[in-house]
Amino acid sequence: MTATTPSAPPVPVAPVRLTTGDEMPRASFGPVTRTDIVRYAGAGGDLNPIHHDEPFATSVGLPGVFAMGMLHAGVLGNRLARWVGPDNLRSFAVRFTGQVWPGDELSFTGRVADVTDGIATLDLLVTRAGDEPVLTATATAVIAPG
Amino acid sequence: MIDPDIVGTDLGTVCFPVDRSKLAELARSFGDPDPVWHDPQAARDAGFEGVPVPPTATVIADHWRPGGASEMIDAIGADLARVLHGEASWEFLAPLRAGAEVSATQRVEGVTTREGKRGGSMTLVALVTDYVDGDGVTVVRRRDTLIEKGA
Repeated sequence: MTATTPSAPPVPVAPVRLTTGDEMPRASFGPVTRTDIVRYAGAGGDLNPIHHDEPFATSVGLPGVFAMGMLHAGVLGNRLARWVGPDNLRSFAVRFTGQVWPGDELSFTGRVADVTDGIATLDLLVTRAGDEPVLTATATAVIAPG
Repeated sequence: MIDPDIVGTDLGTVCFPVDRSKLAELARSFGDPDPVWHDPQAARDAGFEGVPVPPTATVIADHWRPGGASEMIDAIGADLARVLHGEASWEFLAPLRAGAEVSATQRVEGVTTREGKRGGSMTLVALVTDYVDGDGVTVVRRRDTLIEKGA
């Protein structure tokens, strides 16, 4: 598991200054372990056995357990909130496009697609294994006037 | 098989505390060691009035049901082994802080069936959850799409 470094910039309170094309600080997480999955299961409460019980997962035809989407959606949400400030977010929408498996290295990227009337529209992406998308997202946030 | 007639079904209300020990566990699970997400002093030092909550934290409410989230899966008549989470979205209507007591009311907004890419049909269930704080203010509205793959 890759943690944000202790020297990560502070979480913003006030709206931050952003313009179209600005990018979220790139983040990574992984390689994902079963412990990471179980840690989120305990924190978030998702005890669907498909995410932690290998015999159950294989009994329904899967190669093994896979991460709940809310783990990488949550990591993305955390990094997004660190970028624009949690109180400045107006919306966050994620679409799960692929599964995350133990051993995966995840990358988190985001970019300002548009700024209109002090609201930025952000396009965000989580990939595994280099470039395979597992989650696409959009968000809107209040930003400081440019 | 999910019955299309469940549209409009009230899936109940769960009251849950936005508890900072839970928020600490969540931040750790996201790989973020910053105490701003659970420590009132760290949050104050960062300039926040109260401990801020990361955007996806409200999903915890699902698991406050006595039977966990699988109780909701049963209530909509889905087969847990065939259910995937397709989409989730949040509208943030007012700031949420650790220490809030929130009630989450969930209902079925829509049911659609469509053909899967590899044959067989799949059923999409749209859910909406309103989170209301102790002052009666709706702080978050969340929508989810669950996908039940064909048998």
